[in-house]
Amino acid sequence: MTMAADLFGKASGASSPGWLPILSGCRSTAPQPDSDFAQHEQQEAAISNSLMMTLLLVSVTAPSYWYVRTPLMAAAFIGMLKPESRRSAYLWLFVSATMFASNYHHWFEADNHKHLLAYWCLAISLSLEARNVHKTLASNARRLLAGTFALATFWKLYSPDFSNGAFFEYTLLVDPRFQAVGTWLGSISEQAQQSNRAALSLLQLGSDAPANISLRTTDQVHHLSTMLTAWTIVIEASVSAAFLLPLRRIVWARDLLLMLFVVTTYAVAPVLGFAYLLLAMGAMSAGGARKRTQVAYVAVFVLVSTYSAPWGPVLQSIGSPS
Amino acid sequence: MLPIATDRLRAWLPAAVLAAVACVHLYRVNAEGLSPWKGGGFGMFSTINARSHRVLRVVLRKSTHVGEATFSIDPPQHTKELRRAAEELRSVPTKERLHRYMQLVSQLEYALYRNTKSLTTPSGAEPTPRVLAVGGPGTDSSPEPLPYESLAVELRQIRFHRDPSSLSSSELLSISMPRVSR
Repeated sequence: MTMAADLFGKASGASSPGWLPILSGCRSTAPQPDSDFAQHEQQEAAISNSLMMTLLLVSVTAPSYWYVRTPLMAAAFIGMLKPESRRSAYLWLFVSATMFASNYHHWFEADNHKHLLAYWCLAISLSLEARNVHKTLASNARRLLAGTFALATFWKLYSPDFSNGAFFEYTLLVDPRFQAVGTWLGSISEQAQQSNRAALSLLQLGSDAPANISLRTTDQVHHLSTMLTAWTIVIEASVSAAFLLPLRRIVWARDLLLMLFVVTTYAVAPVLGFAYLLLAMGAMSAGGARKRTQVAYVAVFVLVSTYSAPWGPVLQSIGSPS
Repeated sequence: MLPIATDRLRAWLPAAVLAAVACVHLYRVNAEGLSPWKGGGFGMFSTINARSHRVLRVVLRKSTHVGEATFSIDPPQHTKELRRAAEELRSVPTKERLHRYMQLVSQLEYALYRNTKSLTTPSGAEPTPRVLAVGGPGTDSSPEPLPYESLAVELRQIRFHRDPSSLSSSELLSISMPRVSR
């Protein structure tokens, strides 16, 4: 089998779940004469859902450098248009290698989800030629999710300005991305936040700046930052533990915790590329045995998409202190 | 078929790569001052010690009849090499990177600009004179050469203190050298 033939699916023997695997994965559960066949079909749908989500992610979050973006967009479109190509290990190896090269060259700029996406594409490439594709891909997803959350938890415990609540307090006072939450739940006025950002700009003048500048804050911001700190450590540690431990009877807890993390965290921290990637991997790790879980992942995927709407002004008008 | 023998290896290799990169990241954070946000160690949203809170300034000094005049300017953005060196220095503040950056900025000519594109001034107001590297963005007006005597590069870290809420800035690295005569 040549690489090109495999890439364009001419000689691929993989089953084709159709153009819209997300919907095919959500079809009603008609009784099957053969339960093994039904399970196999659901596993195929789970794989296709996850691959489609990942291709969408590759096309949407490709780095802006033309020499990385162009090949990644081309590969993603080929994969989305031709279901057989979507199941080609070589297509995914190409996507993964391009991402690794880009992350290596721009290592001091690349966001962490770009690294995770490269690992995930490598995992897909390796798994698609395994004897048991579904099991290998699900294991990869589980291990990558466990590792990511374990490291995220480690850094939050290791960093003194996170564990003492300073990170969230600073973020609520200064970061424009958190302005709506600061106003809505922290009762800090927009003017106070603008004044804090002006203070930060002053310090960015270098040695000419004053040695110390006070920021405007509220008691609610202080309490809110303590709560957000505790919640973040608890939820990230829980997701990590859930994906690390062999939860036989309560395996659903993994999906519940991951979805809870995504729904709550990305409502506040709008890094939607990371959210989509976690959901694509979560959907794969959940496997094809539970159709409701797959539907739940797709529903959360859609819900998270609505986070990009400009909710900030609405929340600020509700929570703005008089 | 990709030359990897067993399903077990295929199911562990990506996680092993993740762990290896994370170990390198941990080392670089502790040994080289890399910001936990970058480098593939998943330390995002864990600290305000991010690249955006590391302030890089180029400082020119010259003697005048009333004492020493100091001009602190933003990092020059003329070339890709300058931009990349500045970003690398802010991400991983090592002495080697500082020296390399100093070498690049010391080769530039600097001038005092009366009108600069990048300045926002109220209509009718007299624009504030600004020192910029010659040929950089926003330098379309005629400059007055600035015969500075010494050049410094400063990298500062902005820190947040919770009780009471305040910001401060402290020096991470700096280097200074007299002007190289041509």
